[in-house]
Amino acid sequence: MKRKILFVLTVLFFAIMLAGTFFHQKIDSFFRPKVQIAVMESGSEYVSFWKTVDGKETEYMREESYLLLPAQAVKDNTVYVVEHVTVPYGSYDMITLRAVGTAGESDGKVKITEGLTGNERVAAVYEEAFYDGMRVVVVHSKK
Amino acid sequence: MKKQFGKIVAVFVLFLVSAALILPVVFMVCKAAPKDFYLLLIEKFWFYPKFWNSLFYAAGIGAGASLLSLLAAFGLTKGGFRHGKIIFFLLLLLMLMPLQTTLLPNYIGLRDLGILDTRSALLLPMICSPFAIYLMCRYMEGVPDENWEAARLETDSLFRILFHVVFPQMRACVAAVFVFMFAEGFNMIEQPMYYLKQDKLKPLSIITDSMQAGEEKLIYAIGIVCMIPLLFLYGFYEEELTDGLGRLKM
Amino acid sequence: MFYFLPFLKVIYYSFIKGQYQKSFVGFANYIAVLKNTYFQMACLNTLLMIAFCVPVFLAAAVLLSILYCGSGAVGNFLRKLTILPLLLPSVSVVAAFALLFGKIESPLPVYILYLWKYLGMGIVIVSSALTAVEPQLYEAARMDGAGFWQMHGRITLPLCARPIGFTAVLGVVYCFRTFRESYLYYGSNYPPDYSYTLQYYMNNQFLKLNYQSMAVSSILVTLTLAVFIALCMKRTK
Repeated sequence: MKRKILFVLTVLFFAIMLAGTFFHQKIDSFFRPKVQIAVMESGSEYVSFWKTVDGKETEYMREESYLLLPAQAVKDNTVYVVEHVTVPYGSYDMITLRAVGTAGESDGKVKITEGLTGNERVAAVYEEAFYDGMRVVVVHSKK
Repeated sequence: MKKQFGKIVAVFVLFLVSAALILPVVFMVCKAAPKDFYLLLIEKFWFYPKFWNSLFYAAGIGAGASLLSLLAAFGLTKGGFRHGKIIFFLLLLLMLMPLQTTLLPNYIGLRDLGILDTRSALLLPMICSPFAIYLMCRYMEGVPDENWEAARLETDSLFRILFHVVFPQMRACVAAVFVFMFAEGFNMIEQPMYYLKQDKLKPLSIITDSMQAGEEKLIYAIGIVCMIPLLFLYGFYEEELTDGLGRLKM
Repeated sequence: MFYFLPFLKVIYYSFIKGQYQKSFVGFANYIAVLKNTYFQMACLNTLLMIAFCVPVFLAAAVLLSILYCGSGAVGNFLRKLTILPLLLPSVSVVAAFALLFGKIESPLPVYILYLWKYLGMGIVIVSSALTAVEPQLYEAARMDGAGFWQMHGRITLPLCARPIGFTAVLGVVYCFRTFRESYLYYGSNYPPDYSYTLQYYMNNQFLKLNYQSMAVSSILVTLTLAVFIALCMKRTK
């Protein structure tokens, strides 16, 4: 009788361990905050500026690239950048707070002039519950 | 009347001793928060690889040591060695050596074989455990010779004698050796620390390496998870264990 | 085997000058190790531990196993429980102990850990010898009006001298084995002075790749233990 109970418990323990081995990532991501990646558009524009050359002020044109982010992703000149962190035995996504330079907003898009490069990933929605260094799960939006 | 009273006192004292033996375990269980278990079992990446590593080493050492020591003991006690006494003394000596003294010889042996930093570096020395062989020899001496003398008349196959005659009689001792060596294998700390360099191969008992700051409190949860397989084994084989280890003598 | 053949090489190591300078230096290594203050301190601490722990271990094992054998089924059940600490993983146990004791300025926690862990072994060995003693002897002694102490002092101790001697040897050996617990308890290679035992010395030599000192100290320990065990075997025969 005692051995039977022990045997059942042992099997149960191993079942839990095996299930954990294969599914602990899935269970983990179930409880994590989900983050969508913002669609970023990059563009460039010509900015004119004045410069004094040989005592004369001349108008020059300069090409400046910028990025467009949804307005929801930016708050108080900060965005959450999603980073892929690799640790021994695994890797996960983490959000970090980043200060960016903004320049105006037009039809729901904010123009970012500095602090980001085009191939970084930014959380689509800036939520109050987020904090620096939070572990999240990236969800790819269906299109 | 007086005898009854003495008995009650004895039982009371024994209960106290048992309580003292269990106290640290209870303490540990109280100390581990459910959140730690969640962190360990769900969130941490390193837990499962290390757990299976530990289990692999422990099971390998347990099974290997019980098989090898059964064979070795059969050979040593029934094979009619002339210098059995000397071998016994050497075995006893090796068994009683502290780990630190065997560490260097072991290390050199493994290095010369070129299997340092592999799984077999942990398995092989523990499988050839002098303790297991010694215990098995002691137990086998207590079993009468007639049984395999009779079996010798029936069959020539050594394997069949071993399997049908020796093994059933030695079952308790084999179980004891298995449990003991399993526990030893689960508990190894120095050996993986010195023989292994890759973190990938290390068992759960060396957790400090891959632990980051703030994970120290996980140790209680780890302890409890580690304890579970050993508790099961203990529950299965407690009779055999006390019986087998009790035969240990000089 | 993994133990014996390499040991010969260790002996060879103990006589040469360095890992790469293979010149014979005789006993210079031995003298250097023996003069090392840390080695002396380690020896002293180990001896202290043996002197304190082994008598307690032995007395507790004998007394408790007499009690266990004397109290029937309950004793039998509880006796099996004493083996349990031997199997539990040291990591978790030591963590619990560290919490229990906190920071005490003495090697006492390690001693208690030692007793806690290995008492079961002693009890199992002694009590299995006790059950082999014929109960008629006790009956006869009780007829003659012998008390508890008299009975066990006259019958148990002489009859079980050999297992008890073996338990003493095991106690000494386990003193050397407690390094693992001690190491986990202090969590470093350099514990407070009062717990710096021989094992720490060897361990640190090994980590420093100082094979010569390590070889010398392990040979010294091996020899000491070998002589001790041989003496014990002779005496109990």
